[in-house]
Amino acid sequence: MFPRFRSAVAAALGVCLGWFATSQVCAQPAPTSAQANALMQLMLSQPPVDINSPVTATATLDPPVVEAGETAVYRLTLNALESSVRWPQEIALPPGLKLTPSARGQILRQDINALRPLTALNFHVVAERPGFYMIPAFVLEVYGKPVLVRETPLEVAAKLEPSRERARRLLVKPARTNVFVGETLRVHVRLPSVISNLVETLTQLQFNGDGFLDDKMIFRQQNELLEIGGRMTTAWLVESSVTPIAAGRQTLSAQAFTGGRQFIGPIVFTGQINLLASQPQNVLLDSDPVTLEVRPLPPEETTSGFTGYIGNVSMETPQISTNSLRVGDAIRLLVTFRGDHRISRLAPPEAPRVAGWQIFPPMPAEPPFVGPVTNLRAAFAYTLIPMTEEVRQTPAIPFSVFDPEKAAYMDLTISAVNVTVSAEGLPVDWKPASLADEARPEQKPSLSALAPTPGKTIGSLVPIQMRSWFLPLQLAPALALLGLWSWDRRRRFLEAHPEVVRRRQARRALRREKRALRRAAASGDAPGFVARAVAALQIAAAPHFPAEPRALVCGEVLSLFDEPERTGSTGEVIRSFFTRDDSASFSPKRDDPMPLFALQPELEGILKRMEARL
Amino acid sequence: MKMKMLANIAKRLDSVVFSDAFWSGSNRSQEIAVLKPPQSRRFAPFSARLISRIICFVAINVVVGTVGAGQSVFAGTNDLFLRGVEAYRSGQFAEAAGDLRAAAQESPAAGTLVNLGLTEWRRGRAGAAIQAWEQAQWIDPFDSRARGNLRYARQLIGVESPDYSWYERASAWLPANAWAWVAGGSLWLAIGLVVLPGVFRWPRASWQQAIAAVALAVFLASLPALAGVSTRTRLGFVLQKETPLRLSPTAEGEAAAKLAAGEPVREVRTRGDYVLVRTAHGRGWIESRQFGRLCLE
Repeated sequence: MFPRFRSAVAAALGVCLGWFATSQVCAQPAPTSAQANALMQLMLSQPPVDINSPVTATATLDPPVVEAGETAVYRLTLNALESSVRWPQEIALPPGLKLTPSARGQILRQDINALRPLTALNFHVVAERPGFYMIPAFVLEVYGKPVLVRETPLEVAAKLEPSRERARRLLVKPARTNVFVGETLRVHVRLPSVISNLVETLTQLQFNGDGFLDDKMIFRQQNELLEIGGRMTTAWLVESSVTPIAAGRQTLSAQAFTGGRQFIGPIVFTGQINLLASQPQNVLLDSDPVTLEVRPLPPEETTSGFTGYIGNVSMETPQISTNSLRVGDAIRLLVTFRGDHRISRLAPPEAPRVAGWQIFPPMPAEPPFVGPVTNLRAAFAYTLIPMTEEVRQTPAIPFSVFDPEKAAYMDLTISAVNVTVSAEGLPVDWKPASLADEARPEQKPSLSALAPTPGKTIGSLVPIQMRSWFLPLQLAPALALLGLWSWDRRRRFLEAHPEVVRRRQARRALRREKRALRRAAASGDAPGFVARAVAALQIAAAPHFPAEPRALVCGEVLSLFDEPERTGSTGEVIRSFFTRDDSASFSPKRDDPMPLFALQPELEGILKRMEARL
Repeated sequence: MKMKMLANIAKRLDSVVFSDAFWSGSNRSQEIAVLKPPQSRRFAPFSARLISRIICFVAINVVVGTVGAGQSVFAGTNDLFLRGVEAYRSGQFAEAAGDLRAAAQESPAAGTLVNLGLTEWRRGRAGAAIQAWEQAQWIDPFDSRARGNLRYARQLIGVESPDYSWYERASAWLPANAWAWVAGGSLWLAIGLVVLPGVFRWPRASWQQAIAAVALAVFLASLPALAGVSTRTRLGFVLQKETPLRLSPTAEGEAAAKLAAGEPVREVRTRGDYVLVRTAHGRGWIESRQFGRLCLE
C-alpha cells in the first residue's frame, strides 16, 4: 500500500509546489510562520514531479503482426502528465483500419530525485482485410508544445499459426454475471505471463464501466497456473470488487499497469516462480469488456429494516450485559452477524423509538478484521436505558438483508430479550420526563406501499373553472333566474290588467265559435248555426262591459255599435239572430231559421269588425 | 216571461263562479258566471312540482349518461392499473411506469399517480416521481400516501416544497375542483334564496335569509382559494437532475444555475422548446422536456 500512497502524495505535493512557485497567488488566509515552515518542509522533502524534461512519445503495436479481424493493441506512451495531453481532432487512418480507444492511465515512477510521470493510451486496432497498414504520424500537444508521434506499421496476414504471439491483455472474470444493484461483486483480474514461471505484478488496477462503482480494494494477490490455448502458464491474479449502481445490461472492463516486483496488498505465492528482477516497464494493459445483467432490487414488502446490505448473513443470538437492572441503568445489547466477505459493509439497523426505553445508535463492537482473509464477522452494540420499571423486555429491532442467491429479503429482526427492571432507590413520584413524548413513536418519513385501487378519479388535471364548459354551466342558473323574473313580471302585469286576459280569451273563444258556425252552415244545421252566431256575438261583446258572455242580451251587443249601424243593416242582422235564438229558447212556436243562412256573409263581416275591436 | 228570467239571472249573479268551461268551449257548465278578478293561481304557468320534476329528470339523465360513459373508460383504465401494479411487484419498473402513466393519462386518479410516483422513484427518476405525487395531492389532498412520499423524497434528495402563498395554501385544503363547485353552488344558492321566494310568492322566512347569508359568505371565502388553484396551475417540477437554468432560450444560452430533479418552478411563458420559469434561484429558461407541469392537459 505504501508505494501507491507515497507516489500519490508526492504527485499532489509536487503539483502544489509547482503551482505555488509559479503563481504566487494565495486564496487561503496566510498561515502562521510556524505552520508555513512545517508545510514548506513537508513539501520540500518530497521529490518534485518532472514536468520539464523533453517529452517523447512512443507508439507500439502489440503484436505487430495479426490475422485479419484480430485485435492488436496500439500503445502510446508519453513521459508527461495525463492532463497535459491534447489529442488531435482527427487522425487520417488508412481505409479498412479501425482504431478504438480502450484505456488511458498515468503512473508516477520514482526516480533518484524526482517523480517521472508516464501517461499511456491504449487503442484497439482491427483490420478486416489482409495487407500492410501504416498508422500515420501525427502531432500531440503536450504542455502546450507539439510532440510528434511517429508512424507505426501493422501487418495483417490472412492466416497465422495458432501458437503465435498475441496481444498482451488482462483477463477479467466476475464471480457472477447476474447481480443486483448495490451488490458487491468480486472480480478476478489475471495477467498471464509472457515467459513461463515469470511473474509480473499489476499496479493501479482500475475498472471501467458507467454502471459500476470501483471499490478500490484488493482482497488477494497470488500466482496461479492458467491454461491458455492448451498450454499451462503462470498468471498473476488480483482479486478486487465492484458495485453495480445502475440496472440493465452493463459492460465492465479492467486496466492496470504492469508493476514488475512492486507489491501492494496481501500476496500469496505458491509453487516455483520467478520474479521479474529488472526495472518494471509499466505497460498499460486492458481487458475485453464482460457483460453483466444487473437487476434492480425488488420492493421490500413483508420485511422491514433494510439498510442496503446485499449478501448472505446470519445473526447470532443477541447478548445482553445483564437481565436485572434499575431504571436509568444502561445495558449493552451485543448483536453479532456472520457472513461472507461483504460483511464489513453491513450497516446496522437504527433502533426504533419505543416508549419506556432510551436507545442510543449502534456502535461497532468489534472492528472488522483486517488481513489477507475476508472479514467474516461484524458486531454492533446498542446501549439501552430503561425509563420505567414497567418494561419487561428490550424492544425488537427490525432488520432485513437482501439475499442475492434467493433474490429475496431475509428477515433478521433482532429479537427482544427479557429483562427485569426495578425502581429501587428512585423517588416514589419519579417519572421520566421523556416518557410522554416517547409514547408517541416518531413518524419517520418513508415510502408508502402501493395503492391497491386507483382511488379518487377526475376527468382531467385541468381545474374545471378553466375548462370551456364551466362558464356556460354557471350561466345556466342565471338564465333560469332571468326567465323566472321575466315570467313573474308578466304575471304581475296581467294581474294589474285583467282586461288583457279577457280580450285574449275572447279572441280565442271567438275563433273557436266561428269555426263551429261555419261547420253548422256547411252541414245545414240551422239551430246550431243560430246558436253559434249568437254565442259568437256575445263572446265578441263581453270584454267591453266586462261580463259573462252568456249573460249578454241583444241590446247590450247593439250598444257597442254607432247609431247608424244599430238602425241599419248591422243592427238588423244582429237582432235577427237574437230574435231567432230567443224564440228557439223560450217560444213554443219555432220559426224557420233557414233564411238566416243567407245572412252569413253579413254576420262574418260583423264578427270581423268586432274581433278587430278586441 | 223574458223579464222574469232576467230577474232570476240577476239574482244568481253573485253566487256563481267565473266559468272556465265557457271560455274553453265546454257545454257541460250550465251556470251563468259573474265577472270576478282572475285568481292569481290561474296564472302560474309551471307549478313548483313541475319544475322540480323537470330538474330531477335532467339530473337523472346527466348522472346516468355520465356513469354509463364512465364505466367503459374505467374498465380499460383499471386493467392498465392492475397490469402496472403487477409489473411493479415483479420488478419490471419500466413496464409498470408505462402502464400506470397510460392509466393516469386516460383517467387521472390519486392511487394511480401514487403508484406511478413509486415506480418512477424506483427507476431513479426523482423529478417524475415528485410530479406524480404532487398530481395525486392535487386530486386528493387527503391522500396520506402521496403526502408521506413527498416528504420522504424531498428530505432524501434535499429539495424544497413549492413556495406557496397563503391563498395557494388555502386552495390545497380541498381538491382543486371542489373549490369551483363550492363557489358556484354557494353563489347560486344565495341568489336563489333571495330571488325565488319573491317569484314564487313563498312567505319570507328568517332561515332563508340566514342560509343565503351563509352561502354568500362561503362564496366570498372560496374566491381566494379559487385564485390559488389558478395560480398553482403554473407550477411544475424539474424532471432531470442538473438541469441548466439558462439566461436565454437557446442551447448555447449561459447556464445561471443548475436545478435539481424535483425542484419546483413556476412557468412564466413559453418560447419554442423552452419555458421561462421562476425558481428559488431566479428566472431563467429550461427545456420543455425537462419541465413537468402539475396540470397536464
